[in-house]
Amino acid sequence: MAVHNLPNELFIIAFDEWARPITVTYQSGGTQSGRGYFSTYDAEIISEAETVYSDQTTILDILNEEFPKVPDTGDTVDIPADPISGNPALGSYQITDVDPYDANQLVTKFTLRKVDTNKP
Amino acid sequence: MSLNPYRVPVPPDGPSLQTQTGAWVLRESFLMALQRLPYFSLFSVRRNPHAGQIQKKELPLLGVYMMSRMAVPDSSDGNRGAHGAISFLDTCRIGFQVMIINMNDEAAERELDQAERAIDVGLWKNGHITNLFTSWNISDQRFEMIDNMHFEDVIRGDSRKKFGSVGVNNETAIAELQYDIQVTYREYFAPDITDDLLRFHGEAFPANYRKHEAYDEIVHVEYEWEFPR
Repeated sequence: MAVHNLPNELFIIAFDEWARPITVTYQSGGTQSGRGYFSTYDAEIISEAETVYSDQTTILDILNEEFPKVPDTGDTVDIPADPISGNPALGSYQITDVDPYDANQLVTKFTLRKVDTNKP
Repeated sequence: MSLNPYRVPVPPDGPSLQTQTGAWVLRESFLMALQRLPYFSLFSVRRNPHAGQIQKKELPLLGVYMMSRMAVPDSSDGNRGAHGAISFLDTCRIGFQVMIINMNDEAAERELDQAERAIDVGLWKNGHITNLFTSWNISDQRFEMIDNMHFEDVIRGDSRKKFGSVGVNNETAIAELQYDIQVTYREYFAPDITDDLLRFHGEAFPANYRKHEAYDEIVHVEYEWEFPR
C-alpha cells in the first residue's frame, strides 16, 4: 500500500525550490496572484530564403490546486521581480496554449507569448 | 537585350553590370527603390539571408534576397542555341521578406498585406523602373535602375504570410511576409576582339599546280588595314 503521493510531493518540492511569484489577469475579468515555474529556451524559426529568426519558447507551469480558476488562453501573466531569488521582473506574457502536464492533472503547462510593442 | 545602347555610364566606383550579374543589379535596384518608400522608412534592411540569425532588435525588417538565377538560351530569333555568341534569357528569383511584431494576429495580417501592396505599387508602378528606354529620373536626378539595367517582365509572384513557428509556440509575436518574384531579362555575351586583323596575305594558283613548279605562276595578294591607335 503506497503511503506517499510521490508525483504530488515531488511537484511541491520542485515548486518550493524553483517557482516565482506571478499574477494572472483573466480575460473575463479579475486577477489572481500565485506562483509558477518559468522556463525559456531557444527556438529557431526558418523564414524567407532560409533565413533564421532567433526566438524563444517560453513556458510556465502552475500547480492547479493553487489557483481557484486555472488560467486559459488569452489570459495575461505578469511576472514581477522575485524578492527571494533576486531575479528581475520579466514583464507580461499572454497565454497562447494550455497543456495538462501530468497524468494526475496536478500541473498545467502554459505556452507564453511576450506582450510586446508593435513594430512598426 | 538588357543593356540599353543609350545608357549613360555610372560613376566608376558604382556597382555595374560590368562587375556584377544582372540578378545582383536587380536586387540592389529593387532594394534601393523600396528603401525610398515612406512605408519602409522605419525598417532595417538585409541583403544576405545567411548573415547570422535575425534578432528581435532588427524588427521591423525588410529583406531583399537574390535567391537564384536560371539562364537558358535566348531563342528570341527562333534559333535556339544557334548563335555565334552566347546569349541568355535569364529568370532571376528575388525574395522579399517583411517581418514585423504585432500582438493582434488579424492586424498583423493586414499590415503584411499593406507591405505586399507597397512593394507591388512601389516597384511596378514606378515608371522609371519599368521603362524600357531609360530609368533616368529627371526630377530626382538619378537612375532608378543601377547601370540603367532593363528587365523584360515579372512572370511570377508568390506570396505567403507566416505567423511564427510551425507549432505557434514561439515567444515573440512575429509575422512575416514571404514574397518571391521571378524577373526575366536578356544578356548577350559578344566576344571581346582584342587582336585586330591588320594584314591579309593570299595566294592563288592553278588547280594542277605542283610543288617546286615556277613560283611566279602563283598570284599573290596582300592587304593591309590601318586603324587609328
